Formats: sequence, C-alpha cells, structure tokens
Amino acid sequence: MSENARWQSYRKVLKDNVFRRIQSGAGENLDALARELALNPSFTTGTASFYDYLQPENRQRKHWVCKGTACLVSGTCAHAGSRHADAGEALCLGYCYAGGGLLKRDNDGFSTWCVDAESIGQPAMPVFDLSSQGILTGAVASAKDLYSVALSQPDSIIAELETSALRGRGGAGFAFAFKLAACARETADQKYIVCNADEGDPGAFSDRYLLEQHPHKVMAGMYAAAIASGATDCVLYIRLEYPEAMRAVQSAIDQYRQWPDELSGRIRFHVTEGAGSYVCGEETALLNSIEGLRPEVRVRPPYPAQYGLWGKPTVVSNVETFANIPWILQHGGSAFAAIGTPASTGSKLLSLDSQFVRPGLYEVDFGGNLGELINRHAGGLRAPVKALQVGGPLGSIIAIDRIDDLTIDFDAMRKAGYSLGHAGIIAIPQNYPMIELLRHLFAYMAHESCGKCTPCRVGTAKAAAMLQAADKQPIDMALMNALLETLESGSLCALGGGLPLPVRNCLDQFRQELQPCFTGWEETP
Amino acid sequence: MLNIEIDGRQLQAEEGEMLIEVADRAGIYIPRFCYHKHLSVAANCRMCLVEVEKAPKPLPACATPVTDGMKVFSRSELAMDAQKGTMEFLLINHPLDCPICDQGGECELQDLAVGYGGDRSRYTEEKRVVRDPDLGPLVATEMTRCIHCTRCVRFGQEISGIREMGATGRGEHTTIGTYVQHAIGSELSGNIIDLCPVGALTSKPFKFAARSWEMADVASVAPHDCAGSSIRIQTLRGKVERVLPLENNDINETWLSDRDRFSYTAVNSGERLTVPRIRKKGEWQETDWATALQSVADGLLQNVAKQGADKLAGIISPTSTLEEFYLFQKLLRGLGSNNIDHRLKLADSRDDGRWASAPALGMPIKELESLDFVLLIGCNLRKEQPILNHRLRKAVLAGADVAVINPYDYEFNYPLSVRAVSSPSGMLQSVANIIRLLSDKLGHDVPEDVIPWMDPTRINQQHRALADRFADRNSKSALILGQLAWLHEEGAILRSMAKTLADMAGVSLGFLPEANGVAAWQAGCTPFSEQDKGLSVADMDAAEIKTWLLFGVEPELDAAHGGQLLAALNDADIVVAITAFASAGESYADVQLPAAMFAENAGTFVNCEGAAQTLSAATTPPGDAREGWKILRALAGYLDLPGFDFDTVSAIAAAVDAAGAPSPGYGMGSLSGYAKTEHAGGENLERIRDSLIYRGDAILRRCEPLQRTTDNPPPAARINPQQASRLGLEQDAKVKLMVDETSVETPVVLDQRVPEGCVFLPIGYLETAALPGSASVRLVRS
Ligand SMILES: Cc1cc2nc3c(=O)[nH]c(=O)nc-3n(C[C@H](O)[C@H](O)[C@H](O)COP(=O)(O)O)c2cc1C
Ligand code: SF4
Ligand code: SF4
Ligand code: FES
Repeated sequence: MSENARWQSYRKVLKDNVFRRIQSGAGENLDALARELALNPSFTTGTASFYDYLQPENRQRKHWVCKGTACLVSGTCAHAGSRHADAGEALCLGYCYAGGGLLKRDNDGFSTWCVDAESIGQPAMPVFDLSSQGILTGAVASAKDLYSVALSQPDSIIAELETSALRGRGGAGFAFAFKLAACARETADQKYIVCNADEGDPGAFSDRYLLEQHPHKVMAGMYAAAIASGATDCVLYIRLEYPEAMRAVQSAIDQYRQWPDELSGRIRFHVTEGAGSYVCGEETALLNSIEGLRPEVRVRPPYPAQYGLWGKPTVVSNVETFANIPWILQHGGSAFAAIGTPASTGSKLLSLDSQFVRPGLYEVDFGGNLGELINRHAGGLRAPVKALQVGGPLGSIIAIDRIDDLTIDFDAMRKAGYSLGHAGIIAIPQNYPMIELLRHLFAYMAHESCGKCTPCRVGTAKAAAMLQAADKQPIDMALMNALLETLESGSLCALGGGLPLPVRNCLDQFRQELQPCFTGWEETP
Repeated sequence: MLNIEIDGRQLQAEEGEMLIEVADRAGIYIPRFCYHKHLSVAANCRMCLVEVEKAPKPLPACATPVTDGMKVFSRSELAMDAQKGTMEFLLINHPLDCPICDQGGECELQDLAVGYGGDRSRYTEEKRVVRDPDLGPLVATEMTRCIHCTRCVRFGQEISGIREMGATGRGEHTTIGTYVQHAIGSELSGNIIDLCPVGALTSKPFKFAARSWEMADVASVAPHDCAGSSIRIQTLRGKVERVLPLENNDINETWLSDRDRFSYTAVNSGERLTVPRIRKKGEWQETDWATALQSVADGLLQNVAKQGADKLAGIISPTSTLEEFYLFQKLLRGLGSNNIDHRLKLADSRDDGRWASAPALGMPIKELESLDFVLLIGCNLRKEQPILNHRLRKAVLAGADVAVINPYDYEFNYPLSVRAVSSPSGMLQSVANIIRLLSDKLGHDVPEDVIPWMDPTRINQQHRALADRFADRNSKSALILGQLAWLHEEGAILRSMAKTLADMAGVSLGFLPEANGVAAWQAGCTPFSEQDKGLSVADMDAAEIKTWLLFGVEPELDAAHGGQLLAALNDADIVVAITAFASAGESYADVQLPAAMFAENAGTFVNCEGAAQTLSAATTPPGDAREGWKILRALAGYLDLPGFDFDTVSAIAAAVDAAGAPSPGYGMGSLSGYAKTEHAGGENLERIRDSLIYRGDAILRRCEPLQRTTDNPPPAARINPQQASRLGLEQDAKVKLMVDETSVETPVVLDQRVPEGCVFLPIGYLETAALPGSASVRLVRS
C-alpha cells in the first residue's frame, strides 16, 4: 500500500525495527518518533492506534484477565474479573485447559498466570500423545541435528516436502511445498521466512506449547525453508499474550547463535512481538505489522511468495507447520505421508479446554474419529454441553450429537459443513444461550476487523448491534441472510469471509433456541 | 495478448492487466469507489465485484488479473447482488444529507445508489459521528460522509508524497483524517477533492456556490504553471465558480496544482477594476474608454516626442496570451522603443545576447519521467512547477537520481541524491568546481574562463558525486535551471557555467520559463531586435525611463529588482497600467485601463515544452473591462499605428511567426568579461531571493484562499540560527535591512535551512518591496 513508508521501514529493517520503536514509543511523543524515523506522523499515529495494548487506557495497566471464548462461556472470566477490579481484557492467553488466565506486567515485563495461581499454583499444560510417531510432542535428542539434517540435503528439501504432502496448520490447510517452491523460484536480493506465531484463535494453545517446549523444532523447520528457498533471514512473529513463548524462543535463538558458523552463520533469526490484534494472524496483515505499517490486510495477488515482507519473496507459515519439517527431513517425505489420511497427512495438535474431563493438548494422527477422542480419550465432559466450537471464531460450531460422525481431517470436516481450522476445541455448556454466542462472535469480529474492506468493517458492527437489540427487536431473517451473503462474498480476507460459516452452523443447528430473536424465518429456506 | 469476454463482448487484454482496466477501455462501466487508474490498487470498497466463470465467489474487478479465455459477467444476478450488498452497507453509515452536500449531482455514491433502485438502506441504526479534521483554507471536510475508499490517503502517499491523510483506529472505529492541524502542506492538495468519490472532501472556496448540473463548462488551459495544464472552467450565470483538471496524459494526467485550481478566485476579487480611471491632481477619476485612450495616446506621443523613444518602456506579465504579447511589443516598437520585457524575475541581463531562442524545458514534460539523473540548479521545483515535479518524482520512484544546487535547503517530496546548499555566490563556486572535476575525469582542459570561480580547497563530496554522475555517459541526464537562477544576482554567470557543464557532459540543458513565457519570446516581448537591443527589465531602472506601459504587472512586487523599479515608477512622468485590479499600480499610475483576465480572455498559451494550446473565455470581463488584445488594438488606433486591424485572436496568432518548438537556445560564450564579486561578510549578508508559490504575480496575490495557506508565510528575513546568535538576534527580533540609502524593516525568523552568511528574503511582499534588488544586504537590529 505505502511504498514510501515500506521503503523507509525497510531501511531500518529488523535492527531498528520501526514497529518495535512505535510500540515502545506509544504513549510518548509519536510525532517526535516519526521525525526521528524520517516518517510522517500519520504513520506512527496510524499504526499505534490500531493495537489493543497501545491504547491509552492500556498503557498504565498491570493486569489483564482472559476474556477469550473458552473463559467466557465457562464463566471463569467473570470470576477472575471480580478479583482484579482495574484489570483490562485479554483475548485468550492459552490457559483454556486451566480455566482461565491472567496477564501481568511488572518491571520484568509481561508474564502469564493461571487465573487461580494463588490458590492452585501454576499447573503444567497436560500433554497427551495419541499419535503413532509423536512428531510434534516427542522429545528432541539433539537440537543441532534438527538443523544439520536440512543443511545436509539442501537440494532435496522441496521434493521431500512435496512427497510428505504437508498441509498448513494455520487454518487453511494449504500445501506447504507449493508456497516454498514458489518463493524458491523468485530471484531477489533478499527473501524471508516468517513464522506465524500469532495464534489468535481463542481456545487454541498448541502453538504456545510448541514455542515454549520445542522452539528448535519450529526454528529448524524455518531454517530448512530458508535453505531451500535461498532466504537468509527468519522472523518469528509472536503475540504479546505469549511472553513465556517469547522468552523460550529468544533463548533458543541465543543457543543457536553459539553454534559453529557452518551451522548458524548463514541464516539469522529475529523475533517481533505483537501488540494485541487478532487480524495480525492473517498472513499479509502480519507482514504489514512487522514492517510497522498499519496491519491491514493486503490485496492478493501479489502473494507473499512474490511480494512479502518489505516487498521481498517470503514464505509465511504457521508454527505447527514448521515444526513438522525436521521430522520429515529426518525420516523422509513418504514416511510422513504414510501417517494420517491421504489428503491430510501426519498428525495434528488439538487443544481441549477445561470443560473436558481431561483437558489439555492432544497429538493425534489425522483420520481419527472426533467423538472417540472426546468421549474416550478426553474422558467426556464435566457438565452437559450442547455444542463444540472447533477451530476458533472462524472455525465451526458443531452440535454435540454430531461429533461421532466426524473425522479429524481437513477435507472430511469441510464436506460435513464444518471446518477444522487450527483445532482449538471449546465446549459450549448446555445452559449457555446460543444468542450470546452469536453476539460474542460478531462483537469479537467487529472489534478485531482491520476495517479495510466495506463488508467486514460495516457488516460485523452492524450485525453485532442488531444481535444486541434482538430481544426487543427481532432480526429479519432475510436481512440476516443478505448480510451474511455480503460478508462472505465481498470480504477481502477470511476474517469477514469466514465468519458466516460458524454463524450459519448456529442458525441451522439451534434454530429452535434462536427462533425468538428472528422474524421471517419460515419464509427463508 | 489475451482474449477475454466481458458481458458477451470479445476483448483483448495484456498480460498483467486487471479486469477493470480492460472493461474501462471497452467502455463497460463497472462500479467502483476505491479504484483509480493513477493510484495503487486497494480493493477495499468491494463495489466492483463481478461474476467470473468458474470462480466460486464474485471477484473484485480492480484486483483480478485477466487470464486467457476468462469469461466475466458484470451485470449478472450474482454480480448485481454482490454490488447491491456492498452498496447497502455503505449507505448504512452514510448520512442522508444529499440536498445540502456539495457533491450532490456528482457523487459516485449517489449515482450508484439511484442506479440500484434506492438511496436508502434496509438497515436502520444510528449513523456514525466523526470528528472533522481542519484541512486548511482549500479543502472542506465532512467526514461522516467518508466511505473509507482511501483514495485521499493513497494520493498523499503515492502522488503528493506528503502523507497528510491517514487512517487511525481499526475496524468500525477506523477514521480517515489528518495529523497536521491546519496544514495541508501540499501544492497538489486540491486533487483529493476530485478523488473523493463522495462529499467528504469538497472545495472550500466553492462551498455551496452552485450545483454541478447548473453550471456551464468550458475547456481551457491553466495560466500559472509553465506546464499549461488542461482545465475546465465552470461558471454560473457568468461567474466563475470552479476550475477542475481535464485529463491530459502528455501534461497533467488527471492532476492540477492548487495554484492553477484556485487562482480563479482572483477573477471574482473585489479589487477588480471595472472602468477606466485617470489620476487628476492626485485624485482618481473614473472615465470612459474614449477619454482614457485619448489621454494615454496624447501622453505617450508627447513624451516620446520630447524625450525620445528610448525613455519609453513596457513590461508585460508572463501570464498574458501570445496575442497580447504580440500586440504589446508591436505597439511599443511602433512608437520606436525596444525596451520591452516580460522576464520580471530576471536579475542579471548580461548574457541577453546569447539567447538564440526562448528558454524552455528542452524536452516533452512526459519525458522527465524517463530521466536517470537530473541536476536542478536554483530550483524549488515542488513549489515552482508542481506538475513537473510530480513527473520527476515518478522518475525518482523508478530509480532516478535528482540532485540540487540551491541557496536554501528546500523540502522535496522525494529523496535527493545530492543536496548542495550554499550561498548564491557559493553556488557559482560549486558549479565551477564540478566543471573542474569533470574536465579532469574526461581528460578535457579546464575551461580558463571558469577558473576564477573555482576553489580547489573547497571541493567537497557533493561536487565529486555530481561530477561522477555527469561522467556516466550511459544515463539519460538533464540539467535544469529554475526560478532561483533567474532571480540570482549573478544569474548570467550561473547560466554560462551551466551551459559549459551541460555541453561538457553532453546532457540536455533546460530553463523553466514563467507561465506563458515561451509565447512571450515567440511574440517578441523581449528587448532583442534585429537592429539594436533595448533594455531588459533588469536594466530599465537605471536608464531614467520616464514613460511606462505596464500590462498586468506590479513590478515592485513581481520583479527581481522591484525596489529599483518602484523608485523609477514613482519618478516617472507617465505610467499607464493596463490591469485587472484597481489596486495594481494605484500609487504611481496615471491611467488605469481595466483588462480582462484568464477565464475572460481567449488566446494562445505555449508551455515549457513548446506546445501551443488555446485558452478559452468562459465568461465576459466585469463592467467596462475589455480583453487585453482589444485594448491594445484600440490604443494603437489612437496612436495612429498601422497594422493593428485584427478582428480575432486567431488572426493575431497567425501573424506571429511561431518558429516551431523552441529549443533552449543558449549560445556558448566566455566568462572573460565577467568579474568575480567578493562578498563582504559581517553585517553584510548575501541575499537569497525567492518568489513564493502564491506571491508570484498580481493574480495570485489576490487569491484569498491561497493567501491563507501555510505556503504563504508573513514577511520575514530568514537567517540561520548560528548566524543570528553571532549577530545577537533572536527569533522575531525586528531588523533593518539596508541597501545603500534604502532600508526596510521586518522581523527575523531563525531557519536552519538558510546557509550561513545569507538572508532569505523573498520578493512579492509590499512590506519589503522598497528594498532594491542586490547581491547583499546589510542587516542590523532596529
Ligand atoms: C483473521 C485471520 C487470523 C488468522 N490467524 C492466524 C494465526 O493466528 N496463526 C496462523 O498460523 N494463521 C492464522 N491465519 C491464517 C494465515 O493467514 C495463513 O493462512 C497461515 O499463517 C498460513 O500458514 P500455514 O499455511 O502454515 O497454515 C489467520 C487468518 C485470518 C484470516
Ligand atoms: S475482511 Fe475484515 S479483516 Fe479482512 S480485510 Fe476486510 S475488514 Fe480487514
Ligand atoms: S475522505 Fe473521501 S477520498 Fe478519503 S477515504 Fe473518505 S471517501 Fe475516500
Ligand atoms: S473498486 Fe474494486 S474493490 Fe474498490
């Protein structure tokens, strides 16, 4: 969008990173900062005003209580909120397995806590490996080996990844090798590998787990992608709500830098910290964010593989996607392809929230039955539940009686009218009103919309307002359908475009419960 | 070439084109708000959704590249539903105030909404309340009407290079606004009015004046920039209400400088002169044309008879038409005088003999975009010629280097590769040093005549960088001299050196004329003639001229040597002012003849590349005011001069021997006759003379909205802060500026951009007009 600003930002690149400067400068004189960076004040102000944690009311705060979907529907945020009167709201801290989280800021910076840490201590994240190989949760014997395996076969990396049929774990399930090959084909003076560690979906904590427990798996995956595509710089974009993950990655980078030059001399790692914005997980918004621009979604084409970070060819992928790569290179693409189903190969991490009897992180091979996982392995639910939210706010809402029919597989889920997304799973209690869930979904998206395109900027806020008033003023179903249609067909990115799926899931499966809030339902098919 | 089909029509497209470009070329209209052909693709409004065969969802035509065999339906049910859906969303937040909106009748939202069968949305809810930013005197804002298309934002980033408009907040709370209160500092800012598809950004001077459909519309040419931008002049019942750009890809594309957009406001100025006036015993008396012309003719003839024609001089504004120039010089030459000039900004005429033809750019305006390297000497291009600067900016964004040698560190809206800022005399030294370095590099002899200005001990990195750049024969380069070179007290030396440098490097040498200056040369409004040369404007003051014919000028404010001219005019026997404004020359003129101005006047405009275009009259002059050519023709009749029997402007134009496109014909010459001036120092500061963007001529100084912009600071002597502390002066201290016996008073402004040893004192201010033009000025606290 802004070639000038992008160019200015590129000159500072990652050393004097403009976004980092804006984050630390927010609250002080943004105009002066703009002058120092030789940018217009609109640049610094426009950027700072976008992020939750750079808002004036958040600058002095010390506490934020998790108000993600899991905490909301299970009621823990109300309980936590009562203890910290001045606390702000955080949108999922990845403590869904422990019944809620708390974000704190003190002199050492940010840290996160289980909401009941004072009484029950800091419970470790329960991890269950139900998979055949433990690709993601298995222990790492030697971190260095994860990297050297890529270094030893630079020319076969892309081919092995093609054979593995590894699909992106960030939500869309796009073939990873295709993106990598596209980037490798470009000629450019500079290329980047970017790891999307913004895990914004409330209810998901799998990326947090990988970053904290296995940072080298993720980094070695990026390293392999860099070698295969000719990139020299790797950037991890980690959300602010994951300070422990940030520290774990930083110490892994320190470790990496100690290694011999043959191994670590060619490729550099950098980290960028988010500042509170869900849309920054969208890959092009994420690139703009690193550049210090307003993180609005970019138009595609051009795709990041051609025009990515600072306009250079870039591969952006999810944490979990990268974490699979060292195993593939160690065991071969066909060994990986043999796991799971033909279309969804390998294993997947699922995050189960505290309403399950055995909450925590599960690694399962693709192809398993969802009902079996929940009822057998996770021990069922603590209290009556009517639906599951799978894959975050842009995933799907699945009536609880459907789970036995569903296979954990990207395409099977889609065929059934749902989506797997990033596979965070939240149980919606029987007594939680569906209208509240709809209100939450739209209010959340209205808050998180980047505001760039008309359908999403206007539609999410409009629907949120209509739903808020629906008790008194029932919504015309034809109007609701038109709104969803415009959102779905007109939105620039999957935030606006993806929201209608879970909404329609609710409307279709919980019609009886929702009926009083709508009119004209009978006439619409 | 690819073949695609839109709405059943077979069309050809280039690889990489977007659907909307192909549709536009074929005249198939796809609705759009954010798309603009000169701006980057944002694809945020989602209005241009069309159905594409095999695509699961409608696609935005502005951001979908064509592919071979593509089948597109822009008005199918799917496409229309998608467009309607977006439309309805936009109307949710849009106020229903069309009846009082200035955009009414030319609002893209209104047009489309009506086209989709309704300007209301099915959604009801509170509309937004949005704070309106203050964008200064030119652009009015009503941001509740904003539909977030970001055209204005992208214009700032991509075209004007000044990111004034920007977005803050996110989601529904995103607002488009400005960050700098009261300061749209761009000289192209008015373009955002045209770009805004709705009534969020409208013209302040035009506010509530008229509905677009009520106005008459005439195509013409903009009179101030030397670019000759194409414009539309709109009038309502004879009153000029608005000027808009007309698309012209060779010149202004779709843009217009603020100067050319808003200078029409002077046409409606309360200072317009509507009847002839004669001063009798110090009092102005209105009269009729016959009396006025008779008295002018009598006066001119008597004085010429008494004192000789060499005591008669004429100065004409460079904004005049080719036809006016022609008749003006014909009249003066008919009376026997060659003391004719239009070059008010000229300070040094010593090289007058070297001009073979009109100073001009030396290449088509468009070609600026394809240059690899440009050195600007004495040129603040951004403010001098905004449209040319925009072309150069494009070149820079495409990788070109632009360097400057300037007496003030002007702000450019693109990075400069070399920024050599020094005193006016230092500029001579810089050019001389570069010539020296370049001769060494190329193995030429150092030109002897330039040696006195060289100072090898002062050769710096900038000089080296420029010499290196000129030595690179593979790049397409140009050297361009701007207004500050004309205003330079030793401009003849600067031009001569520039010529030496350009020839040595084998690059094009261009000069920026003022307004219609090229036409003035072609029509003979210069002191040159076959037989003997008359006086140039820079020399008229010293020759005891007693009889003056002024045409559209205020020499005391317009000219480099305004102070001298003011003294001469005050001292004259007869001053005849043909002028559009009663206040012009009011203090020294003896007769004022009311003239038409642009928009009331037909004629020919020749731009800096030599292209001749036609200025059209959109209305008639007020009261008894008449077109300039008619006044001159009538006056010639009273003077009994032959050869003035023209009935139309085109007949006059045909008489002008326009010798084809002008090349900047500046002949080689030696500097041997010139002496190097030493500058005293101490309280004597070298004067940097500029003419600010909205103070250059009588018309601009009467454009009230332009006068209120940030580009029109109050009069001041700007000096470097170090210099000030050495002289014991602080900000706003009152100082006396002295040249010989004359002094004026003004406050001091401390300004880091002024080199040491200098004072930046522009012309065009009444308060300091009396100060004679000179190389240096004594500055003391008053
Ligand atoms: C609103 C929105 C939020 C997203 N958030 C994330 C995220 O937090 N993490 C992630 O990996 N991908 C996220 N994505 C998907 C990314 O755009 C992108 O598809 C992904 O990073 C590609 O990586 P993958 O191919 O490895 O899945 C998000 C997409 C949208 C539209
Ligand atoms: S859909 Fe929403 S988040 Fe995505 S680009 Fe449009 S406004 Fe931004
Ligand atoms: S002010 Fe006008 S041009 Fe600017 S974003 Fe709003 S609607 Fe578009
Ligand atoms: S014109 Fe295509 S999205 Fe706006």
